[in-house]
Amino acid sequence: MNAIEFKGVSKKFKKGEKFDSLRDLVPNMVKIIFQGNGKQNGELKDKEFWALKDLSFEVKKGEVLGIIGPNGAGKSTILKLLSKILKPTNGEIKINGKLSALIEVGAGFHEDLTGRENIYLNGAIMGMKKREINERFDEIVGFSELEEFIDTPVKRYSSGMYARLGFSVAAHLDPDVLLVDEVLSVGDMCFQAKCMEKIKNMKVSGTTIVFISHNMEAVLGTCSKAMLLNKGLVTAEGQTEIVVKKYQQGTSYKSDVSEIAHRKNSIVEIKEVSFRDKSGKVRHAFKQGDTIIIRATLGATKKLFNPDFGIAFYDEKGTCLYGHHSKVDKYEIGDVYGTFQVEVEYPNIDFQPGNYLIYFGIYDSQGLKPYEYVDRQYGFTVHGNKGETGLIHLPHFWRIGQEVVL
Amino acid sequence: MFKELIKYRELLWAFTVKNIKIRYKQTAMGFLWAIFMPVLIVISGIMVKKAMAVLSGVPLSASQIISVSVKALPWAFFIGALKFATTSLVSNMNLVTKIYFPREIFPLSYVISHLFDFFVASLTLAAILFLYKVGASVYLLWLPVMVLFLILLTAGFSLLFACGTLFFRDVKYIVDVILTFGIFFTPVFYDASMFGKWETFLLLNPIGSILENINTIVVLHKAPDTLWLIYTGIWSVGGFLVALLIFQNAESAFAENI
Repeated sequence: MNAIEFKGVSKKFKKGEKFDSLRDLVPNMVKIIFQGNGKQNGELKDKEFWALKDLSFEVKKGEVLGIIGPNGAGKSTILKLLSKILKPTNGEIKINGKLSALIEVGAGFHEDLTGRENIYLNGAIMGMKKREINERFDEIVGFSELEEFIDTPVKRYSSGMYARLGFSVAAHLDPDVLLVDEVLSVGDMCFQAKCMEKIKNMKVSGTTIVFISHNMEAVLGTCSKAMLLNKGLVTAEGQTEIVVKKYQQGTSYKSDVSEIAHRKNSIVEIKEVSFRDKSGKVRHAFKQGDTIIIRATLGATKKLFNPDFGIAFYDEKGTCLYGHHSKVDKYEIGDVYGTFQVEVEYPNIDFQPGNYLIYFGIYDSQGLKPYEYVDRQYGFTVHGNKGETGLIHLPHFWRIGQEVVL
Repeated sequence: MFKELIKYRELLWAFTVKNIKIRYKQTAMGFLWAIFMPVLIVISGIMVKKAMAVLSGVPLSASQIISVSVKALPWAFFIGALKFATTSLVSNMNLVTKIYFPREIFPLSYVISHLFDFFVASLTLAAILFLYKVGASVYLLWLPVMVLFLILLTAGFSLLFACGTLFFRDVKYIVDVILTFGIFFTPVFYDASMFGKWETFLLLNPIGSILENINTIVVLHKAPDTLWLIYTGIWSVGGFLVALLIFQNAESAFAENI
C-alpha cells in the first residue's frame, strides 16, 4: 500500500514583495477569498518561479525516503506540501494515515511556560491527545534528560535543552507517516546518536518516514531509498547509495542563492570560473591534498587600473573556510582591459570531504568597492578519508614511546 | 466546515489554557487583572455620567451606575478578545508556516480565553448586584442567548480581522483605532434612547444593540426588543458563518502570504 502519493505536483512561488500595486491587489484578494489558493494555470507570470515542477513519486508503507539536494532544490517545499501547510499549484497529493512533521523542533514552545506545560502544548500541536501525553509523559521527560528542570520556564533553558525537549515530544508521537527536516543538527553528539537510534526504531516498527538532510551519513544509515532534487526537478531516484554518490560526484552545480545579489551593468563581467588540476584539465572533484587551480575569465569594457581580486571558500552550511585578496597577498595585478584570465594555484586543498562553493570578486584598486562578483555560484567536491571530523584536514604525524623525542 | 475544528478541539483547549496562563504569568496581581480592566471602564463611565448629571441638573442615580457596569463587562470582553485575536496569526508566524492544524484555532482560542476573564468579572458583578438588591426576573433567561450572540459576533470579527491582518497589516491599525474610539459610537457610557430619533441609527451597530438588550434584561427587567433581537441574531450567527467561510477559503494561502 502506498503511504504517500505525489501525482504531477507543481508549486509556484513569487519573488519579491507580494503586491506591487493597488491595481493588482484588489483582484488578487477577491480571488484568494473566493477560490482559495487553489488551482491556477500552469503559466509563469512576472517574477514567478517553479519551486517544484511536475513531481511524481510514491512511498510505500514502512519505507524511508531520503530527499537530498543543494539548497533551494525544493526539499522543504515537499515537506510543507505533505504537511498541508502549502497547497500545490497543480497536481494531487495523497497521504494514508496519521502524519506528523518534525520540521522545526520546539517551534510550538512558549517561552513563559514551563517544560511540563510545553510538553502538553507541543504534544497537542503535534496532534496528540491529552490522554496519550499523560501516558507517555515520564518517557518523554526521561528521553530529554531534563527531569530537574521540567518545572522551569523554557526561557531559562539553553538552546541545547530547548532542542532536546522539542525532539523528545516529537519522538514520542505515534504517526503512520513521519516527516523529518534537518532536525538532527541540534544537541550534543550523544543526543544526536540517541535521536538517530529513535528514528531507526520507528522505521523498524513500520513507520513511513520522509527524511531530509544534508548529512549523507544519516541518509545512508536510515533511508531505504533516496531522491536527488535540483531546482524542483528530480535528477536521480532509487537506491540510496547510488543517489548519494551521484550527488557527491556531480556537484558542479550552480547555486541559486546569489542570483539576486548579482550586479548587472558592471564595467567588468565575470564570464566563467573553472577548477583545474595541476595539468590544467578542468575537473569538478578533487582528492584531499590535491593541487587546485581556480581560473576566472573576465571581460572589461573599460581599462581597470590595478584591480584587486578576492576569493573565498564556503562549505555547504555557508561557513567561510578561507578567504584572501590579491592585495593582501601583495600581488600586483597591473592594468587590465578586454578579455583576460586570472589564475590562483592552491597546492594543497586540505578540506574535509564534501562540497564547496567559492566566492570570486574583482574590486577597485583600493580593494574596497567590488566591480563585480559571483557569490557561491561555482563549486567543487573534495573526496578523501572518511571518519575525520571538522572543516579542514590538518597534516599530522603520530609518535609513541616511553619518552617522546621531538 | 466544523469537522476539522471538532477533530482538533483538544488543541483549541490547549491554546486557550496557554493564553490564560501566559497572561497571568509573572504578574503580581494575577487573576485580579481580569477584574481590573472592566473596573477601569466602569470608573470612566461613572465620570462621564457624573459630568452629564451636572450638566443636566438631574442627580446621578444608582441605576445609571449599574447600567454602566453591566454594559462595561461585555464591551471589555469584545475589545479585549478582538485586540488579541487580530494579531493572533501574525504573532504565531512560526507555527503558521511550520505546522499544520486548523488556523481558526488561533483567533478562537483568544476569544475563549477572554471569555474566562469575562466570566470571572461577571461573577464579581453578579455578587455586587445581588448585594445591592437589583433583583431578578424571568427575563434573565434571555441572558445566555445574548451572551451567545456576543460570543459569536466577537468570534466572527476575530476571524475576519485575524485573516485580514495576515495579508495586510493595515487591518491591525484600523482595528486599533476602531477599538480605541469605538466606545464613543457604542452605547456603553450612555443609552441609545438619549439620542431620540437617532436611536435606531446607533443600534444598527450590532455590538450596541447587544449591549442595550443585555441592559434591558438585567437592569430594566424587561424582555428584549424582538426586532433588535432578530437583528443581532442575524449579525451574530450569519456573521460568524460568513467569517468562518472566508477564513477557511483563504487558509491555504496563509503560509506563503504571511
